[in-house]
Amino acid sequence: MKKLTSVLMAALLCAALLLTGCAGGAKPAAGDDSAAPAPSENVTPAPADTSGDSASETEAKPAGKDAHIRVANLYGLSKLDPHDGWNGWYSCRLGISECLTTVDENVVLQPQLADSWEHPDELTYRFHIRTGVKFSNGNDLTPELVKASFERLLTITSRASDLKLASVEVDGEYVVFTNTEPCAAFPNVLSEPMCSIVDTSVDDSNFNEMPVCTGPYKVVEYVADEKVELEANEFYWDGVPAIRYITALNIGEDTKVDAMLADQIDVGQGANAITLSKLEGQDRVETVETLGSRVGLLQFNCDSTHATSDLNLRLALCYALNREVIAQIDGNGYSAPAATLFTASYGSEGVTYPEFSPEKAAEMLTQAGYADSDGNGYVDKDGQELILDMPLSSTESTAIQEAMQDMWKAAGIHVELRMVEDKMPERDEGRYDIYDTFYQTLNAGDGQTFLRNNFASPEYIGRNNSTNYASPAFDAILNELDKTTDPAGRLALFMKAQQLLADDAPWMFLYTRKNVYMVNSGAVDPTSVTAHPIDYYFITNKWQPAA
Amino acid sequence: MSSYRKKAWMRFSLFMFLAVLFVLFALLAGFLAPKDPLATDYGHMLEKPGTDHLFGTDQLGRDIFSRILHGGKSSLLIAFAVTGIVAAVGIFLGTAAGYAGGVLDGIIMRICDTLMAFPGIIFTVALVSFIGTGLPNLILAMSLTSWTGYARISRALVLSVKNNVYIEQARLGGATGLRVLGIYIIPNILPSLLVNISQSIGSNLLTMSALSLLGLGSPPPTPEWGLMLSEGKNFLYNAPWMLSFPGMVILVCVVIFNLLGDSIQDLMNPRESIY
Repeated sequence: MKKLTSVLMAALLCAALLLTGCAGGAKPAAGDDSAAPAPSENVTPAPADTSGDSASETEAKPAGKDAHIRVANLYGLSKLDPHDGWNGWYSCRLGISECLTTVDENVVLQPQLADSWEHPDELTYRFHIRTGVKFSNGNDLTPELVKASFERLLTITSRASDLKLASVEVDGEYVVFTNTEPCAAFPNVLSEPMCSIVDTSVDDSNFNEMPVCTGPYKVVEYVADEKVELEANEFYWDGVPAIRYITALNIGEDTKVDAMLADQIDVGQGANAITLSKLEGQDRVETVETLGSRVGLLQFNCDSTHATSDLNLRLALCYALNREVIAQIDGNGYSAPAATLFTASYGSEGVTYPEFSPEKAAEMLTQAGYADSDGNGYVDKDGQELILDMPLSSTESTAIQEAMQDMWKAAGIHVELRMVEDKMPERDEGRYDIYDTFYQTLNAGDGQTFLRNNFASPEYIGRNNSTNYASPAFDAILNELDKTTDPAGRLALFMKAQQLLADDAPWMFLYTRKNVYMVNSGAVDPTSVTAHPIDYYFITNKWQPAA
Repeated sequence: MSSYRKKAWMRFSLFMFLAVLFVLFALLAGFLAPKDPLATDYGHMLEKPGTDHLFGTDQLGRDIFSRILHGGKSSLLIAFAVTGIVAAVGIFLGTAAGYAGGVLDGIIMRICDTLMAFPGIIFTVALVSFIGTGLPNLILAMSLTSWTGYARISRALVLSVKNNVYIEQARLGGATGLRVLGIYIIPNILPSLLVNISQSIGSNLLTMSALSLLGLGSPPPTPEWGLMLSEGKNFLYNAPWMLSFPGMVILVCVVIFNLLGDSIQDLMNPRESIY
């Protein structure tokens, strides 16, 4: 009996271990920046997977004027006050909040709550506020409330410094913004979800659960870490949505496809690419996809105390990596190699960058003074083996990092993968040589803010410049960008900036993922759903229930 | 020899043989593995089990069979190391507490009580998070949390034998405390502890695999069974062999070491039947 019991116990323990392995959920979302929110990516760990209970309690209603669907958006749920940190990305995804401007599926700036704007001088922008717009509580959107909303934004988040705002004034139907310095990308910056307009005439103490905005949907119930119940905004200015109710569920990226197949959600965004192949061969779920503007990349510590401060070594690291293989491992067909910060249509054509070349990698190592003098397969200098440190969060998948480690090993570069609970503090405190992450680079449809925040010299303004990269030439390009409003001129400058980054290699760009929306064709008309390359756009008033 | 003893010996021999076989496989992995466990092959990623790759390949085209063989080395090494450290520390402190009694007994047992108040695996996870991941830290954290069981058992065993007449005789004959412990007490309680030692190899293997599954164990690309489970968990649908083979090996290994412990117990408890 004892033996039988011990056999059963061992079997149960192993089964439990296996089942734990199968469970998805709480994995921090992609690009570890899954592990914690990084400056420009607004990535937070998806809290515990609640798909089971919530979804079973929330049954979809058939099409019709009271159509009710269930969705799971990228990175799960978060608090919703658009002005609070990166929460605007969540309220924007759920179709709750809107800005004065927006960016369409072709990454072109479009008017939204402002229907036109003027740029009378280098420091001034005049936005005409669209008339007839109401907040979801029925209050009219007025220029005064727009001004008050920006004043609230400035007091709540430090990110508002991106706006370079000196003052906001009302002039009849216009809101007049005065910048502290030239800011040619200002209309784009206003499309960033943190600039969402909220109704400041009401009590804003619970805006993190129930913000009052102008989007096509409003929050009717907020259950932290579990679900957000949305209802169509009956006052919506651009046409009341045909789908009246939406339940947004908190589902981890590993289990979204399963939830879709189990009929627990009707539209899903941001499923783990590895799991998408489960959808093959079945008719009910259709996918709508586009290449995203979130880029998987490496950051090299350029601080002089690190070996990676040597440009030749950084270039050797770049030449040793095969982007095609890395994209295949990452996306299982849903990722594409990417060698530049921005997409091809955004000043990337003509940029030359280090492509996979073991010979060039060896040449760069030699130029950096490294050689394998002891014949152990790894290069060394002055009798000391080169060992580079790459921290990884213990909860993230390590497939890509292991592949890169292997490619570097083939080039003779010893990179150690160091597992830590959360790798982000390692980067923030400079304890790394190589750091891999995943960034949304075309925030607001313009790359200038991203370039400034991540690459400008620290003394210039580089708020998130964690690699300590500093280049007067790069700062000069940023200065020019501030003053250049002509689109062709801006594209030329973006190309120049990207070429400089390719030459100096403080970062290496690896791959871009497709933004894939899964759509239950029995509940939502897939032709009414458009995938957006910027992943903070998701729910719109254009979605139609299935016929 | 009675038929019961014969059966007990047969079972013990069988499970000892299997346990030794497992250890040999791990030690001889370098000769037995058909491929380099770290060699990637991007042209053969996620290949099904077949003649080229007995257990298939993983997401980087590495041979899973070879990784399992090599993984035995680190997995069993940790399990044996933790068991050895825990048994040595636990038995030493438990024996000292039981034999000396008084203040020393009180101090050691209160430390035990304190440590046992925390759920073992959670305490281990917290410790690893605090002192950092990696093999040495994993062994340290697991050892720190599980020596208490041995201390309690060995203290109880010492208390049960220390007042026996032969111990009194030894003392009257002038034997020192250390001699009494080394010659009369420890040899008497060791067989009972062997059962625990053998069984805890299995449980330590499971704990270690669970910690690696959580990303708190060996760093990649080390071939280690728990880490292999962790790497395979995202591929359950696409490549179930990445999860099932390491899982099965862990299962079989744990069962063998548990049954080995049982068979030792059978050998030492002749009054009880096998079933």
